[in-house]
Amino acid sequence: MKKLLKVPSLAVPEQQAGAALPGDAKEPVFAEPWQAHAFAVIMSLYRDGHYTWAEWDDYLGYHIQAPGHFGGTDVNAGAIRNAAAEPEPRGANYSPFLADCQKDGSRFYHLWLAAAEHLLDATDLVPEAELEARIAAFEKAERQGPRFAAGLRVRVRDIKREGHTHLPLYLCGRTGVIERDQGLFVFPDAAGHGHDHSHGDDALQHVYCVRFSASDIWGAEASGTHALNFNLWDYQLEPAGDDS
Amino acid sequence: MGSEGIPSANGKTALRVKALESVLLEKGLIETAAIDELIDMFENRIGPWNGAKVVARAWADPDYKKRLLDDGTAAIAEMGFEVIQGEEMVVVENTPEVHNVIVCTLCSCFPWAVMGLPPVWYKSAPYRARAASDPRGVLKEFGTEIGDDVEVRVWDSNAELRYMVLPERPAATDGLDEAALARLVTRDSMIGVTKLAAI
Repeated sequence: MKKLLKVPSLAVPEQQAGAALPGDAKEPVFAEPWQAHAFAVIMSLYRDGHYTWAEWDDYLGYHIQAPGHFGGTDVNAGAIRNAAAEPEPRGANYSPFLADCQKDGSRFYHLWLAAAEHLLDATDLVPEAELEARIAAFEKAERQGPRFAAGLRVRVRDIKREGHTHLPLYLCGRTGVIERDQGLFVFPDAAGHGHDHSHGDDALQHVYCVRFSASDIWGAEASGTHALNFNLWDYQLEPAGDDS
Repeated sequence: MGSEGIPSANGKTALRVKALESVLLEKGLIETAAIDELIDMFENRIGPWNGAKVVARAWADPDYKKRLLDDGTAAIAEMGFEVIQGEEMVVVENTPEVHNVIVCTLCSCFPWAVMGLPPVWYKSAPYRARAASDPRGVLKEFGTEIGDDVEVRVWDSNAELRYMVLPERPAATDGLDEAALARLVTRDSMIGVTKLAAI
């Protein structure tokens, strides 16, 4: 079975060292976890030989020199809002010039991301349309939230179809209880297999841990009273109602 | 995400990054472990304390200092700090006659191997522009006074060549060992916007 691809959590390890020495003004290496991830993605693809560093530098330089020329990253709006939300740099020795530097420099990873989207589109690694579709799917998923709450009874849909359904077939039609929502996952090969649940943008689904009792699955032949927990995709489930 | 479900500017950007990362993961172009490893490397394993050790050793060991100024890349590698994308490292020495400042006028090139990622101000347009046109003015902003008799040299970094400043050793530090010397060094002094005060 193909491994589930977890949607990145944008977590970073706890900061130990920082970007400064004790004699410098304190500063984290990355102000936000997304900055660390935008940085690491570009480094990782570079290390795997998808482009040279000089090529990347061209794109980064272009966006730094002429911000906002690519992608939906609203560099200027983001920077202004971020700057407004951030406290003024502390320390009496901050001149207006250094405060300006601090404010302008805080846009850096917005520009980095715009350059990254631009380069990945130009190299066809991630075409712009594909990225925009995924962003729309993420936004939709975040708006909607999980369909099933913990404790709700659900029935496994009777999915009988050629190909890989990512579903133990003996669960079809069985009823269980939502143990917990595991969060959003990318459905493997959703685009390639043409499942009816997948309209391209539905590749992103909640996965739920669903608890079944042994007798629910095996009936009278169940060799015990144990419970079985399965991780199931949103599209595989339907509400069971109270009478099930 | 804001409490009303309206993404903040940062939340929106975070979502873009998440989307980009998920597409790349799906295509098998990146792996979660590699991303985590890179973040850990830049957050915890390389940073200006690497450069501080290089500086302290150069102060303490004249032979090492000579090697460092002759071939920065090799001398830095001697300390176990490898360059990250094949860039050449050049170390420029501050003396009573010459004060060096580094900048990347076009983007944000920085000596990662010894300094980690640059500070926020280093990546800003005001610094990038003014360090080249008015370095003495920039130094004053950082509280650094450079006499008119001292030559100021600005070094523009690029993808292939990265600079680090070897600051002047503060006075009255004769008895200190390398570890104690390293603790005197600041990131800003290795960029050249400050000098190290006497202790």
